[in-house]
Amino acid sequence: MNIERSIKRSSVFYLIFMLIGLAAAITGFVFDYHRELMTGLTCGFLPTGAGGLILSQYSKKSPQMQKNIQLENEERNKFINARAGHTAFWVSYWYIFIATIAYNLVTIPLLPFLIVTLFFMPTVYFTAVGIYHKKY
Amino acid sequence: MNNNMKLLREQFGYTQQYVADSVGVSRQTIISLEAGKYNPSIFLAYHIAQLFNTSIESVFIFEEAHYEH
Repeated sequence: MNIERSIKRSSVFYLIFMLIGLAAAITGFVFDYHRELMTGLTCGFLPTGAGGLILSQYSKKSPQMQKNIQLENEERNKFINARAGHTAFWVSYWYIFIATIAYNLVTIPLLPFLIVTLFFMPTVYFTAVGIYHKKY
Repeated sequence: MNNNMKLLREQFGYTQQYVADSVGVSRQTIISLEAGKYNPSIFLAYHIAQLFNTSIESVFIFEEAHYEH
């Protein structure tokens, strides 16, 4: 596994996060467009992007962090993450399928449903990761 | 998949951490391999066999009945 390429890729990823945060900040605070929503996006994206970017720059010089990156990307972890992703996809698929059917029977408000979905999907994924770490 | 990893590791006097560092995986992966819970890729199997100066077949015992499709 090429560590330098992995660090470069995560730097680009966090830079995009930071740019989205900056764009949200400008849109909300300068142009006063959906200020509340943009404040939320800024608070989420900007610190995550900046923090991640600083960490990935630091990891270029730290052998210990490079070793951690290598271990995170070792084949067993990749296998577990792929398997958990597959499980999470199908559980989420059936969750949305059931919600679609239920929509005809009960009224489901869109925003709370989306918020629950937003928490549901990573919860399923990380639960599956935990289960597969024990299994494999 | 059954394997002789623990036996070979003890014969060579290696620790799990040493084997893990030598083949570029975590100690947890070596624990899973020794317990027969995780099947390695052909590359990892090759590196492990190389570490013990033997062939893949001498380390890992393939049994058709245990093969998961």
